[in-house]
Amino acid sequence: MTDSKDPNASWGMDAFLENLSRWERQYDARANQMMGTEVFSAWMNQMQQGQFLMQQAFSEFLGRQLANANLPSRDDVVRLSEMVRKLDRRVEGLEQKLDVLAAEQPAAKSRGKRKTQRPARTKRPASVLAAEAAAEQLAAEQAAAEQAAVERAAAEKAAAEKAAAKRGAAARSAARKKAAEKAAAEKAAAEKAADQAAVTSATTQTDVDALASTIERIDEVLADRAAEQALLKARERAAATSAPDETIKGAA
Amino acid sequence: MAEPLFDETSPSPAQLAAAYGANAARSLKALELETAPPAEVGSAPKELLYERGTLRLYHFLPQTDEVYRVPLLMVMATTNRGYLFDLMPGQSMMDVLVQAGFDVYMMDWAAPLPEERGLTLDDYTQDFIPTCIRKVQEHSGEEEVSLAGYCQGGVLSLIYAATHPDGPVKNLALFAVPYNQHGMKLARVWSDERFMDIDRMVDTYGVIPASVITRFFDMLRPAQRTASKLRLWAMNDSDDYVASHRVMERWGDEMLPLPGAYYRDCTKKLMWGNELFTGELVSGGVRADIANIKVPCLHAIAQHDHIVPFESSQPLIERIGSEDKEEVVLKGGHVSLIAGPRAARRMWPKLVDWLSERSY
Repeated sequence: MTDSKDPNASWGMDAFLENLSRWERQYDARANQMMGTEVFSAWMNQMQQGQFLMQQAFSEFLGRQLANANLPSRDDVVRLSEMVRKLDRRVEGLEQKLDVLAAEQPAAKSRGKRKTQRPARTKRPASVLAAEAAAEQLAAEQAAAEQAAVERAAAEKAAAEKAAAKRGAAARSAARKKAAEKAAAEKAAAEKAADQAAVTSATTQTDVDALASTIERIDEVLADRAAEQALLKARERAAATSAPDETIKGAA
Repeated sequence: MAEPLFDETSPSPAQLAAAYGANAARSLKALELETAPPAEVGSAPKELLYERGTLRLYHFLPQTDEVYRVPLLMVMATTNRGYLFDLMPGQSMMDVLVQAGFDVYMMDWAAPLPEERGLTLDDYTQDFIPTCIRKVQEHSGEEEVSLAGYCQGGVLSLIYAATHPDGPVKNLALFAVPYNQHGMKLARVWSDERFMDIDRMVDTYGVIPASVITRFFDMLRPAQRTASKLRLWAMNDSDDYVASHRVMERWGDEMLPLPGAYYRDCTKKLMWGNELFTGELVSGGVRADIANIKVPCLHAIAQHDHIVPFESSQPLIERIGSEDKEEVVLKGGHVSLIAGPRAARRMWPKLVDWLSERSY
């Protein structure tokens, strides 16, 4: 058609449409101004009254002609139609009562159920869905946070327990170590004591031996002194008797 | 000195030739469109749930795996066909609502039968609407129902909600509702009780012809039809414009007749007495005071509405008893508020948002 590529085809159309709109507005405004008066209303309704009178007269005339021709008039047809409509409404009323009765029957209730698949009446507006999604997300975040807190607490507890266990183990280990060390120390001490005891024992023996040797030397010294004294005494006695000087010297 | 015949703003011969050819093509296309069969409308998949005389109740088949819990019942204006809500693919409010996950029902109207001439305003508000609500409850299995009414359909919804404050209505969405009918200046003057003999009119017609309704709307914008034809001629090279224009033109041409007694009630009680606005309207033995309405309410009104002017629709939200209430003023006119590309951009997303928050 003319929404052709040729721009010349629509030449003058914009101006035409603009003028048309202006003319329409002005015409309507003036006509409404003129028709919006009581004078116009009185004239219009008077004309209408005349039309009604003519129509009534014509209708009566036609009705008489139809009656003369033994044909049903429009009014006859309308009356007949009204009778049919009344019957129709009575049948409809009966149908409604039957529906009510049928609905009261329990067996009929299931029979009367719609068989066709119908969409679920569960749709929700986007805003509500968004709000629900946000609430769900918030709840999920809260749940996740709670879960994380629980997990963190559990982890902390576990870590604490682990640390405690570790500390216990270390303590136990330390205790064990200490005990072992103590035992070792004790053992060492015992050994040392034993050694010391042994040393002590050895020392005692040495002392005894030394004492014994001392005693022996003392005995020897004493014996020597006794021998010297006996010699002296003999020398003294010899001196006393004849040659006491030589004997005393030899004894010494 | 004489003005030159041509200046730099004058069209060149090439422009003139092209414009001449284009205009000839436009004229041929316009002729073709004039003789074309009516545009296809109302293509959204739906089922007829209930039918009684002038009343039709449709269910638009859900297109989603899950739907909002509360079903939506749309009430069309009694003067027009309900396919305004479903003009064509891409311009269908029903498609948008169904795709958004709403379970949508619609009260539509056919031309009333002659024997329905005696239907009153009460029949619409105390019989048709309650019956359709019951049908929707049965069909959906849900107790609560959202009610949405356009223009006069909004008036009916408002009267029903005001007279059933403890009823099953969960939400009330209204579009361009003529609440204060004295605010409709031209309609008020034309139906002046000093000059208009409504009883004679109803007695004569029985069912008020569609031509009377069409004339009323045409008189509000006398140049509109001519301008619309010329605009179509000028823009018929745009397939989108042509498609939109054709469905809207068809809708505008298919006005509905109205039962005489209903028309009389609307004229005497709503227009002359302005009883809905004053709170004096009694429907089904109950005073229809909109202060009784406590359910959430949205009222969308058009900034340039020539049928239901601002003064007529605007006081509604102030007087309604709901605590959760909102008025939305959108650019556009009475019809473009609810249908067409502008509505698709402005009103439908607002309705979907507002309703979805309150329908689960």
